[in-house]
Amino acid sequence: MSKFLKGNYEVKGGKPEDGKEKGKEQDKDFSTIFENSAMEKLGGSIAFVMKSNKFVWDEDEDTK
Amino acid sequence: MKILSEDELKLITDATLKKTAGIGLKHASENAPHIKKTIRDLKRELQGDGRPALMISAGPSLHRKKSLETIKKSGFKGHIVAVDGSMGHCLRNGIVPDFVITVDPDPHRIIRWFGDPRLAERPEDDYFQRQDLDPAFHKNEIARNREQIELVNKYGPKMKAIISTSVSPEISQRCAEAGMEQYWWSPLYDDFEDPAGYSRKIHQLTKAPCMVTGGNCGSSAWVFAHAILKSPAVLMVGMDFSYPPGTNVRNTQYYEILKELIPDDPDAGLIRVHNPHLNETWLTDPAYYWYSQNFLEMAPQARCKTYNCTEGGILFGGGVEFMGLAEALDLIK
Repeated sequence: MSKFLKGNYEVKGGKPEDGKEKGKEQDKDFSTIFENSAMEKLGGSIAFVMKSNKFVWDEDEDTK
Repeated sequence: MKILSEDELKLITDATLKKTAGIGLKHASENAPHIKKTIRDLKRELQGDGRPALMISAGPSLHRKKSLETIKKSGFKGHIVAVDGSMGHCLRNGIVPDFVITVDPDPHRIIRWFGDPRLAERPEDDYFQRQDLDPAFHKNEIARNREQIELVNKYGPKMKAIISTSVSPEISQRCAEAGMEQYWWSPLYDDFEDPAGYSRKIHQLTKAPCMVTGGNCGSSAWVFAHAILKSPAVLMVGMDFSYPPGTNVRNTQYYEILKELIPDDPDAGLIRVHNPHLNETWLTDPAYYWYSQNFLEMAPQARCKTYNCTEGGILFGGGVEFMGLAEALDLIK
């Protein structure tokens, strides 16, 4: 899936199971840190999403 | 800290959307009446001339490796695209970029890269004394800002601003004052097919094309180079997404936030990544690591060859060729 869709929205039907339970347990500390109210400030400079190998979306251009 | 999992990267994606979309929409509505040209117009004007592009980001290796000296010696004839944070360093060192890209919606900091006419009125902030993007800003802030205003005014008419609708309207005013031609775009915030999404709303408001960002200005510049300029080869310098071995956490971009998150040991918030090309272990923070992973997700999908000529940092593999700058400039002329 990640080859086609990456970013900040969910696919209908949810994420497939990836069987990374062990990894999740090991990384719990970081997730706990993210529960802190400062979490929002830790984000990047600007939002990121990518869909269907498309780098530019221009409705005006696409519909011509 | 350990390498981040997919779920943790998703948390950063969500945090970034939350942090930037609301203010991006506000700025877009304020900028909309001033939009005359967009990157759609630029694409038509240039018609993809097939020249390579050199993207100058502002990571610490730009200064450590004296990349601009190597570029000047090479006589590179392609497009030069600088991020806002590297523009001053370029101008002070005799390189006038063809394009300067800006995207971060921060209302007070980003304008400093263009020279801030209202510096004295800004809230107190030690960011420019601590940041590693342009060490020239560490001292004599007022004098340096005045110099930056003069430099940008002098070379503005030779540079095109690739300006995002997300930035503070003051930046557009500043670019106009300096004689920079402005070509607007919007960041792709979310699913463009979502009728209630930010991307669609902002596109309807501004009519500016939306571009994938990778989460930061440097990656946006790379997208611009291959998707708008249509450069078949993009060379990158200053794309570290990390800090050199031995960097004190105090001198990292997110120090204040790491200190808030982990007051006892902010250094524990840094991630160590080994670069096998350099045989060095570089330090990165969660947001910079997120940038690197976003880039590696994008790179294989681009219709260009990507050369990372930073000679430092953590961006390699998966569609990114890690190569020395002189060697790459010799290969791509």
